[in-house]
Amino acid sequence: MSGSDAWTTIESDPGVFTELIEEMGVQGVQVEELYALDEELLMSLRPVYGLIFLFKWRQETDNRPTLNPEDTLGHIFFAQQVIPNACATQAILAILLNAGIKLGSTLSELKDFTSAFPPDLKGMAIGNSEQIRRVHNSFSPPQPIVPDEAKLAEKDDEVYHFISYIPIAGSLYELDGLKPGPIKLCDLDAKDEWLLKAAPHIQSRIERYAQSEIRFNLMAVIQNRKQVYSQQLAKLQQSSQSGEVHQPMDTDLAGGAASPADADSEMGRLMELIQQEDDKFRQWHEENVRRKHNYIPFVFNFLKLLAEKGRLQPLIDQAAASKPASFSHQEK
Amino acid sequence: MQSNGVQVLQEVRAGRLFKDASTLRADSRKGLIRVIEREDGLISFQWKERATVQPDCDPETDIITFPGDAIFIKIPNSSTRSFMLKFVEADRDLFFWMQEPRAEDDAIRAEQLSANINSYSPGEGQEEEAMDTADQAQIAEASCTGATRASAEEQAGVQAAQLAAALRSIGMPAGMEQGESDVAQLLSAMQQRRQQLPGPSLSEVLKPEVLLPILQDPTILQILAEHLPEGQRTQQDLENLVTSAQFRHQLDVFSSALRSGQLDLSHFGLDSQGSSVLDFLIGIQERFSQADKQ
Repeated sequence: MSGSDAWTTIESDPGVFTELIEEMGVQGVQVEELYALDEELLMSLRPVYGLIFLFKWRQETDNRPTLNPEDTLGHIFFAQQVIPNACATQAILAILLNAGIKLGSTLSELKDFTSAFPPDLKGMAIGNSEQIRRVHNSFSPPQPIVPDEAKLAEKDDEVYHFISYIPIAGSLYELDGLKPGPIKLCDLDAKDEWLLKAAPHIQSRIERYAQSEIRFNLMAVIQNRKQVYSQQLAKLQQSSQSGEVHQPMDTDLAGGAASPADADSEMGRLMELIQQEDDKFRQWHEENVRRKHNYIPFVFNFLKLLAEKGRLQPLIDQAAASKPASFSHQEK
Repeated sequence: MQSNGVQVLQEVRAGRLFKDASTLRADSRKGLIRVIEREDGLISFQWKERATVQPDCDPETDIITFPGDAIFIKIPNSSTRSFMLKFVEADRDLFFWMQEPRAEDDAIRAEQLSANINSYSPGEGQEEEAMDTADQAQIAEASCTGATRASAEEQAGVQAAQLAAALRSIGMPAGMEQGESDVAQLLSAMQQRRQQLPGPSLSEVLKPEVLLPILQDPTILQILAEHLPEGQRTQQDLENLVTSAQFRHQLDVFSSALRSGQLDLSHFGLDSQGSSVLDFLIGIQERFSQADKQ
């Protein structure tokens, strides 16, 4: 049995993060993985609350000035990363607690409780939050198999680091829990699209790491897509009922439908997108159920059944013949 | 986990004996047998002179021993404190005379030496480190006596081939003069080795292509459904499960926990010893198989 204060590593998977956010009490938010820094794609995902860049951590010199956290108390929530295994959750919190969205009781309480704390105490408060830790840990295989972290640290196993990019009160910030304070990247005018301002910063990181073959991932914390599409669909249906010709709201592709025929095809497109979201969430949920289920009883009883049926010997023979192998893990 | 450097497992003061036609001639130099665990986890048997000058001289003899390669025993039919490092191939044998003060402890020391040279702690990433140890071997080559020896890599390759030969030749003729108890010792050392190697993870043994045909038997789902999460108890769910990354990951974690001792076979009511996946499977077979025992 692990110590009850331990945080386990969880997979850096959009399905995991989406459910994690929901279980921390925040509704209407999902996480999408981006495989390229595609500005058109980014824009199509709006509203985007923040971006998370994750990469295998290494020492880097970075002389950019950081803001004094004291100066930003009250309008930037900045916590230091205190618990290594919690870094994914902390990066997500960095966005949720600064995004100005409805938080639910657990996170609202955390934010209020820690509002006057310096970054290290904020980080510790997160680390000590039993509720958050419980939700986080629920995504690794349940007791009694708790991975011995030292043994799992094989050569290829990574220590990943997470950096959040987020617009707060008219400026774009980089929040890195290993730094002493937030880094202001630039100011944002009202007409600025923050995603387009953030892209070059992320791009230069990607290029820097690609040269050294460092693996990385990019995730966007966005409004729940089905919600967005459903709202658009509802508006279209309303206006087509009332006979109005209505411009589609804020969709990714340029140009508005100006005719009923266009409205129809737009509605069809939205319904298909909604279906895709349903399918994706269903798949994510299936995977999370598996992650949270302890399969040891299943495996043991399966092997026992095979033995009783006289069907275990071939597996034994195969295991005996196998070369020793390292156990590969899929955790990031 | 790897230690940061070489770990000395045992040292015994002993001198060399050299074969001269049919006799063994003593070398009068004071010497030291040393068994070390190298950084890569391999075991080395060394002999060096206990010189007062240049204490860190290269050993004159430095042999990597894999489990089953050799044993350290008293030279049969000899009344003096003479011992040998006995290999499967007789022309590799080495001979020593004890220089420790108390002769009464010779037997125990010899047993310990045998045990040490037959132990093996596989380190992680050994293959990658083969290059490093070869480099290290070159760097460590001090030129105090000018003794040459094969590079670590060559040695490892040679040793492995000899072990393979030894394993093939297990059917030694009975009634070999000195041989029987030695062979028994060799065999048990090899058995030990097999148990110490990690073996495959359960995720490799329970591969989808192996499981899917087995799962076509409908009684399996009937019996095992209660161990599946609610809502995932159809045949399709079962087949999706065994191909899923989440299942493979849990199998890997489970296999690691077995191997590290976090999980014990006794947790499953199995009597058997061992900590590998193979031991686990054999334990289940022995406990639940209906086959008549011969």
